Amino acid sequence: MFESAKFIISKLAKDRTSLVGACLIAGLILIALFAPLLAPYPQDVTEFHPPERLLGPSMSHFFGTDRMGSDIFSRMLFGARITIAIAVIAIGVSVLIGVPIGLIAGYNKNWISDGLMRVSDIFLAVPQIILAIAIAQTLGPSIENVILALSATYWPFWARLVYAETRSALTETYVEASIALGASPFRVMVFHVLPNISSSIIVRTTIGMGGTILTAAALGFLGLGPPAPSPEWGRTIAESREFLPEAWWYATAPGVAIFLVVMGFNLFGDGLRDILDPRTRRSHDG
Amino acid sequence: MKVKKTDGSDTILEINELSKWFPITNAWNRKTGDLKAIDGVSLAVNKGEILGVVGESGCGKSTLGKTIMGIHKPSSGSINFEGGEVAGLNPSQSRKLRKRLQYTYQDPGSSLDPRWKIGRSLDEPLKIHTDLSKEERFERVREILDAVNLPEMHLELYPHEISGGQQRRVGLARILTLHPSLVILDEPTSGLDVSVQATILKLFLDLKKKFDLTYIFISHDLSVVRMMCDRIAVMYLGKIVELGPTEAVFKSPRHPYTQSLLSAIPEIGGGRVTENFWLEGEPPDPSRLPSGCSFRTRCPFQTQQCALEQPTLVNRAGDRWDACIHSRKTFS
Amino acid sequence: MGDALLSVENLHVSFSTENGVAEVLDGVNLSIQTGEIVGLVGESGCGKTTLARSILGILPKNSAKISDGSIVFDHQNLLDMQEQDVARDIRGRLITFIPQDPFSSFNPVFTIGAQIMDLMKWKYSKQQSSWFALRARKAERENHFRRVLELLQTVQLPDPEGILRKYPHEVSGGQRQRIMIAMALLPEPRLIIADEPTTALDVTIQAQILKLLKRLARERNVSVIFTTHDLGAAYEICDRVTVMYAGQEAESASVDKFFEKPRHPYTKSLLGSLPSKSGGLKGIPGQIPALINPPSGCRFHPRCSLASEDCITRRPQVNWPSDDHMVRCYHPKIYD
Repeated sequence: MFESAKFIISKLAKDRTSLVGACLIAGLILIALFAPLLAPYPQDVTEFHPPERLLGPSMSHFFGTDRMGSDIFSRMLFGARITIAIAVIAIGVSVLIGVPIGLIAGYNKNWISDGLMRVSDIFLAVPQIILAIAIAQTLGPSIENVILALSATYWPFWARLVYAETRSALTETYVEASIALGASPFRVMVFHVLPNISSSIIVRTTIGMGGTILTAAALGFLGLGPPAPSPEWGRTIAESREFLPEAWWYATAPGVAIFLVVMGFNLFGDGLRDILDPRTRRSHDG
Repeated sequence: MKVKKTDGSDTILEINELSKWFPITNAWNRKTGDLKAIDGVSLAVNKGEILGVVGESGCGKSTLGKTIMGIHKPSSGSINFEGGEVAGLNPSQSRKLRKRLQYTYQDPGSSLDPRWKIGRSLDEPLKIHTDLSKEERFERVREILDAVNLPEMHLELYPHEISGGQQRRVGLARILTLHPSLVILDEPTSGLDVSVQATILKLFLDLKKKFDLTYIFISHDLSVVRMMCDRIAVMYLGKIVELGPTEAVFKSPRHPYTQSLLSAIPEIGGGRVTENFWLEGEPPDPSRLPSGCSFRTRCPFQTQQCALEQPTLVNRAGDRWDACIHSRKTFS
Repeated sequence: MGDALLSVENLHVSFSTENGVAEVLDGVNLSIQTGEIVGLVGESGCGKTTLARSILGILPKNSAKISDGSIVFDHQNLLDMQEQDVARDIRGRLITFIPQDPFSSFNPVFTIGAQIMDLMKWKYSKQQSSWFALRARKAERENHFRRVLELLQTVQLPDPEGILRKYPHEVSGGQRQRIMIAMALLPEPRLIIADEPTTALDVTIQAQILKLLKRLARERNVSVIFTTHDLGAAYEICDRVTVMYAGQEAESASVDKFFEKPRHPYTKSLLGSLPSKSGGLKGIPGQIPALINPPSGCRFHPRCSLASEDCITRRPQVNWPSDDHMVRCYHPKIYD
């Protein structure tokens, strides 16, 4: 029954959809790592060749060229790096902020926990993307500000999730037993509650990656992300608008890239949830 | 405040007028009344004895165990353990207490963290309460494992990888690492197959001797209680209705509820319960108890007097107590 | 053996699990006469619940397999019948069921009355979809209602009409079990299968329910299969007791003989480990085996002091040392 890494991997391998998701994610990581080697025109991230602008897909340019004549395929590969960086850091930071807050709020039953949860409620009441836009707009377009905007709007989600899970974990008999044995609140939270809610967090993280990437791309599309000539995917779609529908490859390439990456995370996250979430686990006894 | 002094031997635990009331709220979160899970319970436990607490669902025996243990905070009353008052301590004070007063859970499997190896669960109490080094802790754990007859390789297993009976032993072992003096056993044989039950009960007795323990044995299984306990307290709807030495109570129960409870137990080889069993109906709604004696609505001996006053636990003779104004010596 | 109402012969049932195939019933025999109350006792994993469910035909379809044997009810082999015929004619009509946990048999969001009336309409309506027989259907509904009330009174429920208006969680365990008994008696069955019906109940309520069930079964001449791990409850209510161990039936005798003069070593050990006044805690050394790779031959042999070569090689055949006493053992002794 148990969640050792080996077990999880073997279960995942049997589930075709999560295998597809895992491949997509692996693909994204590999591309991000080896972009300089894989891109036929790595210099096109910064260089431009106006005479070759807006050429359609061909053998030398798989996805054609953009308005500056740069090879879109190569730029997409480098764009993967930006996407991963934003997603990983934004989620990482929001988890690091939100989880401890959720734990503390869940353990205490006083004004501290109420206060923390009301603050999260306020943040959660505003649509994430609107808030992110406001923050990014105020601070100016850059990759760091996108990450900041995303983290600042995402931590309450983790706080609320962990709060609910902590509250429920505290009713478990083994937690009660530990407290009865004299365990301090810190020990209970860190060594008993946290490991037992970790699978929830991991699953939501994976599924959340997809949404975060989408929001980051939206911010890029609105011009709030890293400025030109950054090959960020959302920005590229924005650039392509004035050249549609003739230069269809210009928007399709980044669009397909975003689609594949988000779907990859969603499929993988679903598969992970089916294994880790006890509620959806099928029982074989009786 | 009545103190139940018994035969002069060392009293390890004394409870006086202990109550735990749970508020009942309606759909709008307004308090509409109290569920008196335990109400004015007074009891003294002697060092070295096994005191049985019996009763059916809703009688409050489990709540009593948890309140003594400090899992619930008492609504009123006092709990005096080894000379010190322990009701309503703050968490850090009560933590020190945990070394001497411990509790086993009805479902032993769920009292162990499913993600922790058993070795780690056994190590935890020592880590919390002692300054022993890793090797010394390991030695103690091995000692305890030996005392409960579990093989050392269990230390590397997870709770779900061992049987229910073994889980129970692990739960016991974990408590014993702290060398408590009083252990509250909450339904220690529930869910066990009959053949395993005997082994566990024998283990309890062995451990009692080895570690010089006193037990409060909470159970609904009267045949087990009869065999294991020195004295027995019978509870009904939050109150103790009878208290005394086990054999004496079983042979001649004085409270009508005790009598019906004991007569409901099938006795293999004896007459059949179903022939003569007289108790009808069900216990009343605990949030709306009848006035006076809570048993009077089902009692064949009830009189007008029973509705007027709430009977208290009265010492009849020797060590026998009961809470019935018509307490009889024998039931025919 | 006379004209048995139900005769299970050589039933083999296996379950496929993640870890392999478990042989849950290993060629089990059981027979019940009309009007008899038979107890099926045993510890966890003995197969009593599986046997009960096999008779009803409610084993999980995907994992359970009946590989051999017959279940002959009223001269018909249930295993040869089509599922829809069993569902229509047998289950819920001639053979009814009282489950262990009555709470989960009820849908918590509907009143008890609504669920019972729904069942009646579905199961016992003569005209199921006739559009034109509105008045006939109304009369039929009133008829059903009356019958239900009658039965609820028979099971000594105070205020039957009030009970019908309540939700499942508003009724106590003992009351729910009485309702289940009433439902089980409603179609006037020949056989009731009661699966641990009093296990979850307090001992005083258990005494009431056992008394009720015994009386009603006798009055209506209904056979009962009563599964339990509580030997005391079996002693109270049963005419005959069959004990099972790890998927094999070990001994079957009239209730007094079973408890006073058992012949199978397992029965003897089991009775010996019951708590008794005389003290002496005697368990049975060893553990109940897993059913995925069970011991060969007689599955009790690893824990039996009388085990011999035969016991390990082949399962003992059915043996009738006296008229109403069956043992499957190579070394039966009269213990008393």
